Amino acid sequence: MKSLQLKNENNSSNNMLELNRGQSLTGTNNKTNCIDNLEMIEAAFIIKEKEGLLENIFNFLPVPLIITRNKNAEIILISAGVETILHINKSEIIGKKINEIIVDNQEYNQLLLQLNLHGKVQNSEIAIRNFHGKSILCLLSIEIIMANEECLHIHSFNNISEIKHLEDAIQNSEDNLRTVFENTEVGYILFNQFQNIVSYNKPASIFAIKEFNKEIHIGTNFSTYFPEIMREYLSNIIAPVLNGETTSFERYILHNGEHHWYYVKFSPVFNKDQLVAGFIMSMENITDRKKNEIELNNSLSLVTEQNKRLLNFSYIVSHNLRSHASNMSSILSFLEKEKSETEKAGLLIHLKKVSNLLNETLYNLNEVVSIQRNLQTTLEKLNLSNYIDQAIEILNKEIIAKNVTVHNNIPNDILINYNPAYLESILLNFLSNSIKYSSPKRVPIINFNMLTKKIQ
Amino acid sequence: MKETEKICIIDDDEIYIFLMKKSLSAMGINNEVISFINGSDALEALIQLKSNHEELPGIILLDINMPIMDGWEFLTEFRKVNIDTYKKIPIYIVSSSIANEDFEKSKTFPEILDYLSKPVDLETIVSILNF
Repeated sequence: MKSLQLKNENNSSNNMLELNRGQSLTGTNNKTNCIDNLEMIEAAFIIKEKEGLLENIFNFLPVPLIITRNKNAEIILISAGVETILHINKSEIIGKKINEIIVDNQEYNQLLLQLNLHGKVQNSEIAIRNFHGKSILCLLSIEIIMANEECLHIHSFNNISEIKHLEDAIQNSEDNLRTVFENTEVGYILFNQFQNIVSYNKPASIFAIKEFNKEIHIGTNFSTYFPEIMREYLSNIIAPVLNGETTSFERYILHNGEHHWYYVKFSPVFNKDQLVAGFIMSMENITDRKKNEIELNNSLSLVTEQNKRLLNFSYIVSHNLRSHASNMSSILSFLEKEKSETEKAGLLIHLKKVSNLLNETLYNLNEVVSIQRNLQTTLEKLNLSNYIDQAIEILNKEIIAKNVTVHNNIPNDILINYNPAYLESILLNFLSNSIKYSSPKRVPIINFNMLTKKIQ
Repeated sequence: MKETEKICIIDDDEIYIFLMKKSLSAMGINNEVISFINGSDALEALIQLKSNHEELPGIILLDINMPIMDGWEFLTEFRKVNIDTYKKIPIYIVSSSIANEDFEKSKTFPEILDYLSKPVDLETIVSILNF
């Protein structure tokens, strides 16, 4: 607690000496008393000068200070800083109660309680109101001083409105970033240079459960999520990142029987000195894209295969037609030059044969085209074994003629989803070609077997 | 090609064989023509000729698509049995196939001198018979 002698603005302090240089004190009759009184007067002048000096200093002090009386909270002195912060002249505030500039008096009263208990208040946030009614957030410190046995309070204000405003802006910005961070579909894990987790979002924790079968926690080291045998692999990935390079790859995960694909990227984080301070691992779920890509590839393979088959078919068509056309052309050429009627008759027989073969070829080609066209539209559940039996029955004559043995080993309950005419045609082709192209040196044996293949 | 050498045609198209024979005759080429409707029969006959120390054909005109043993299988087996150890027989592919795949495959057999697509004109036949 300090002791000072001060005058207020109106020079009306009750406990202050009211003296001017050369003024005599009343009630001093003897010399000794006179000398004492003169010394007292001299001392009073010195004090008064110092008080004036102090007041002047106080008046120009840029730090906002307000001195109030404890008993009635009356403002008796303010520094220049107060005029600046409150946009007010000294004359407009001196004599008023400090409560008039405090926004929340309940809060202020609690500070006074604290002041009475501890003798001082340090850096408590409180809002004050300026002349224009604008609220200003300050850090308030209050100290008690004693002046002529009167208790005074020195209020020191530190305007933190700007700082608070900036802090709020930063906080808002951080909140916005956090919102984006939490709501993005891409998972992010932020690591420091020691590969410890600093921060992560929800999609990252979902990824971790799928990838590592455990939850991730802030402060844990990345390597702890990998089995021992994978550590070297991990080091190989992280090493270039810690050297400032970005690395990425696609990761396939099978979790609970479901297929997941992720695009994983490691990006270095640099500090202001451009040194690697950590890295960000981002993981984007690309399962849908990957599935589409696979479907597209499958479609492409299918189209490619169909094109290949179409090309083969065109070669077969070309081959078959060219053979007959070529023969026809040759026969006609000979017919034109041939004089002998016998030879001409022979050539005509050949021409007729070629004509019939051409007709047969065209019919067969037409059948194939027709079946191909209707294949997708007339799919039925067909008993394979029954269809084989039917084909054997149709070709029974040829089978007996060549002494062929045919074994139908297909179970009776096997149904296939296919076009009936096409299946019949395939089976007849199987059988007739097998018989036709069988080795003449051996007794032909034809076995019909089946295997089930899972289509990916 | 000597007039005494045989011409071997391996083709399952019997009308084509008939027409080839007729064309050769019409051009005054009177070499003996031996024909087979598949590779297997041809191979057997050639082995027989060799074992009997009879003269091998002076040329082989080989089709690709044939039953029992096609042209490619014939070439593979032909190489295995070393028929032409004492006489190299020039082989020409004569096929209706215009598939590039067949054409490219023919290049993998050094025994094949050329790939001819049907219909083959008479001038080409004369030139390959080297008369």
